[in-house]
Amino acid sequence: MRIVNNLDRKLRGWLPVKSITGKSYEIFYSTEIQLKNSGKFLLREGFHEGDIVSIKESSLPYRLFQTYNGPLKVSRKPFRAIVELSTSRILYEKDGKIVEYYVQAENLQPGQYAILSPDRRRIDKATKKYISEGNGGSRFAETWFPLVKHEFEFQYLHYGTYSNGCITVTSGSGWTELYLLIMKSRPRKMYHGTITVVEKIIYK
Amino acid sequence: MLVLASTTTIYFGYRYYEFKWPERYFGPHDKDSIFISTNPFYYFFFRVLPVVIVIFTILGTFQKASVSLLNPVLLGLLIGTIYAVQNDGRVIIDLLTQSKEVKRYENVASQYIVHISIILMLTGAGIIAGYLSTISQLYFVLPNINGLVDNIWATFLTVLMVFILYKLSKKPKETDMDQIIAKALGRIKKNVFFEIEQISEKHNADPILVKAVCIAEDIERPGWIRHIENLFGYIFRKQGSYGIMQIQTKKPINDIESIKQSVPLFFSNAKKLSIEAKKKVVEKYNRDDNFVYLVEEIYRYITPSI
Repeated sequence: MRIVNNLDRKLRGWLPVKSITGKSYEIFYSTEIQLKNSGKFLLREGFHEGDIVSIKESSLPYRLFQTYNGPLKVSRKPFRAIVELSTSRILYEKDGKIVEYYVQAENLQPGQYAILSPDRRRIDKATKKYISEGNGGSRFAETWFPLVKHEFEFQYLHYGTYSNGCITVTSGSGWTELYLLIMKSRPRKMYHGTITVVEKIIYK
Repeated sequence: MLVLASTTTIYFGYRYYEFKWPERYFGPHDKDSIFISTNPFYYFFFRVLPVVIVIFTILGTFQKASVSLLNPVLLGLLIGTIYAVQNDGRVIIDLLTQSKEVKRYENVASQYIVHISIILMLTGAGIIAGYLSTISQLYFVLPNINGLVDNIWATFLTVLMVFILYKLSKKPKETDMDQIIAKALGRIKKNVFFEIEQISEKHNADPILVKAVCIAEDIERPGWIRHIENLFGYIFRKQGSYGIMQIQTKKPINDIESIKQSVPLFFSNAKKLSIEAKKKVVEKYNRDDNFVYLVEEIYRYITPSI
């Protein structure tokens, strides 16, 4: 059972919840959960794993769906992408075809980065223009995926216009597509796949 | 002369809205229409209050300056009626002649009722404003005639300058579709959406598509208008489009009943269809291009289009 039905332009992939200890926060789309009694559920992954929470109705802008949990088809295969620094592109496979988008990846070191689940909603990082799809943005601009190379080397994969050591996807529609693919790739808890950063792709 | 001055002032006051309101009736065409149409009080205040203020100010100012008016109440009635007939009367004629200037809804009777009611209300508002202009205790809010003339000239020149600057700098007023959809979502009762989910499941329909159509209908026909339609439908036992889904029935039905009837009729087995095929389903439901576009926008609002 996972968190679903929160992909509209207001919730933007996040769902407001309140834990039984009184803490309020938001959990991301596709979070694995276990249903408990009286509308409560146990978070089985994420940074609040183990918390028993219920939907914070007062923070829902409207009630478009009866439930925000349900079955969701996720792939057990990890999502894989390559970032080529020399051409500033991210390349990945979708439906048997190679898809590419322009990225900004300043000061990023080559290597293999694990893509982890988003830690929190980055409201502070996304302007109104970023989330406005009518202006070329993406409703998922507030979701940043942590990238881990070694134990203590953190970067982020996100949508935006400039990079400060992160991998920044500059296409709004591209980011929406990437977000959905990454979110639905769940080989194991908190882990979605890998991004291999290379200077130049060597074709054999 | 006073009648002419008053109707002209009211006319220019509404000039900005004239191309969209009330001719376009209700719809997501611009922010003002949405704001006004969603609440009957906003609607009636928007239509009536400016008329009362203008008639009271003009007639009252002259009487304050001891200019004897033949019958202020009759003058108020005349101004209110002329203005109402000039606007809502024109819409009624457009409806009768099936002019393309005004959108014609299935329940055209309710359009006639709204506009006829407005004519009667504006006539009444004119009488009230005319009467108020005779009460000398209210004159303290009105200017003196000499001061008024000076102020009119000063105001005219200032407004002219501001208007020129405004026109030079003005960007087209954009409709924030997301905001309109979010507001409609907040208005619609949650049991309507829950019912859509259950009925859609039963008929293998796409609940998001049905919700998108339902929201689009609510934007075009706000709840209070549907209540008026239902009321007249009950009184006159008239066939028409009723409920949130605006479904054709012999007698008025509520929102839930309209969902129960429309889903099997238009949306069954559409769950797994492609986006293009779903668009055709909507076209079958309502062929109006603006409506289909609005449903598409709402669908994309609810779920990413990929």
